Amino acid sequence: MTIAEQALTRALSRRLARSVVIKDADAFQALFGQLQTALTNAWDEAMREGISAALDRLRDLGPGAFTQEDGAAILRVLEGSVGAEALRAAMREPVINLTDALYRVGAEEVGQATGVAIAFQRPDLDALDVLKTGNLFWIGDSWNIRHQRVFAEALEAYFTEGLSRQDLAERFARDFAGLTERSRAYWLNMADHTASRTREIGRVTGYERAGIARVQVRAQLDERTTRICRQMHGRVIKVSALRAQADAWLEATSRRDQPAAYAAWTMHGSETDFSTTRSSELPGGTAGPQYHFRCRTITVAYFGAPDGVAGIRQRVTDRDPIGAEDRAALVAQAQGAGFLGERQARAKFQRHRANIPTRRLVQYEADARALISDPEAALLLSTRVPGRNRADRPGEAALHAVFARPTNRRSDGTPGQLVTIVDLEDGENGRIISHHWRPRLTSDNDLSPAMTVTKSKGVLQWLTAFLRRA
Amino acid sequence: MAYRLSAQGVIDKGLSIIEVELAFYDALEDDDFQWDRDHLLHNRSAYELVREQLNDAQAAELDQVDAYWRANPEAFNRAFGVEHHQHRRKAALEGFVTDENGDVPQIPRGHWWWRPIEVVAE
Repeated sequence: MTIAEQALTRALSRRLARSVVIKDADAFQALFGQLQTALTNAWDEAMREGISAALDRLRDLGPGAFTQEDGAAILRVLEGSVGAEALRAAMREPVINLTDALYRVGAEEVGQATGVAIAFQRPDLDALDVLKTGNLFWIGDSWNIRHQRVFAEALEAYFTEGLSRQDLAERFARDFAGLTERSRAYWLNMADHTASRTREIGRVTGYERAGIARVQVRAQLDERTTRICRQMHGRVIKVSALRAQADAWLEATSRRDQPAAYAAWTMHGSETDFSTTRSSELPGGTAGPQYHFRCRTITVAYFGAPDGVAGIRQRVTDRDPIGAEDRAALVAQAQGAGFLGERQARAKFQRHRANIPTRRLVQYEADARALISDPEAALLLSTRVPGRNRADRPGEAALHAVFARPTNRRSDGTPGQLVTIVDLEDGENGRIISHHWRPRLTSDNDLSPAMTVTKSKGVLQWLTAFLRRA
Repeated sequence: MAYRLSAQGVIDKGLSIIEVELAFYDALEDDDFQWDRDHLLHNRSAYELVREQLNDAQAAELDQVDAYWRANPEAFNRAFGVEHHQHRRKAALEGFVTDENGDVPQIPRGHWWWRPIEVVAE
């Protein structure tokens, strides 16, 4: 078979593979699994070769103490098997092919969701070319950013301990087999990161080709959700921002500029705090997921702001100001909201009675409602996943209104806030879900932290910022 | 180290901690009480830091709360799941307690209620 025939055959088989892959509902997971297997198998094989070659080198060095120079020689031998170029060669075919497939899966997911056939154009294919070689580059770069250091430290320990070369051979084989095993976690993470980013860049193309202008961030909300993903959940992001982020990353990758690539697509740690940052003011490196390593968050097409309470919830989620005209509507809705059931009202009153002005159960509802209508009361809005959604719809937050008035606690005079809390999306008109005294108005249980809607038009204060300054 | 509560009146007046601060400690399974549980862990930590200032009855109340939580690990983990993973150790107690310099103490590692309880299968 000629080279041209071989190339044609490969192209046809790839096209067939793509069509099968795209029709598979679990395409991403299947491809992700293939990438994990490919990377770990290639790594295991390369390390087997590297350890074997290093042992040969040790034997060739003959008897005597293991020196720093010997360590450098062993490191060079290992580099021949698991260095950047060797890994790129070993992983080239699966990485190139799976990058192509993952990118197309990302784009096709959008196509299926929107009912639009995604036709790739020249810029998409050019981007895909950069992505393929870029993914291969980052995988090979693992030698520079991690493995060389790990191996060098292990080898340094040998000559620091003053081992002879003979003593070393057995130790080396055992220790480096252990390093191979521990590195599997690294490669599984690398596969996860590569697959997810490739899919997300594919989705950007899908959004553009389908004419989608904005997307919504969807985190998987559970106890493992990171702080950054909770802060990003539900936000609406412009596709143009996703494109700018992807292009900046691809451009940095094409230059093999690691710092610029990291800046273009930020991987956040636990200290990042965008809890009060408006979506429109997020830095360019924080647009689409992934927001951190092993990120499970995705984006979905967003088709425009809903009306009413859901629309206000979206603006609160995006940390956008809520105008005075909305305050009037929200107060009106809260005034018409339902109240706790009899059992819950009794339980709450009994447990809160030591701290609130209300003296009798029969007054509890009236006092809760009076605070809603109190012209002096502050109105704050926040979102959180209500109890009714936790089991079946854990990603669906609801808008909560908190009517608050500074009040000293009845039991001991501690300053705090008397509040009435209304779940504005429970039932047709919302429901008053509590009336109590609390020491502060913010909570980690909020997805969007409580923000104050003041009575002056256009003026908005973020409660958390205020409390931090106080 | 001498800590001081923001609600020092509870100690000065010898009030019931459960009645004033931890009233919903045993209401773990009812989602209607989600907002009412918001600061239970914060208060539990604040009162642990001032345990030496509590009277015997107040100290016994803290033990009562702990015993209930330990006896109901699944409900405890579910009720406080978000706070277990989202709290900021250095800042969580702001507004609840200060140290002798007036600074907010970070949550000590020994305050186990800020972590899920390991559920042992029978």
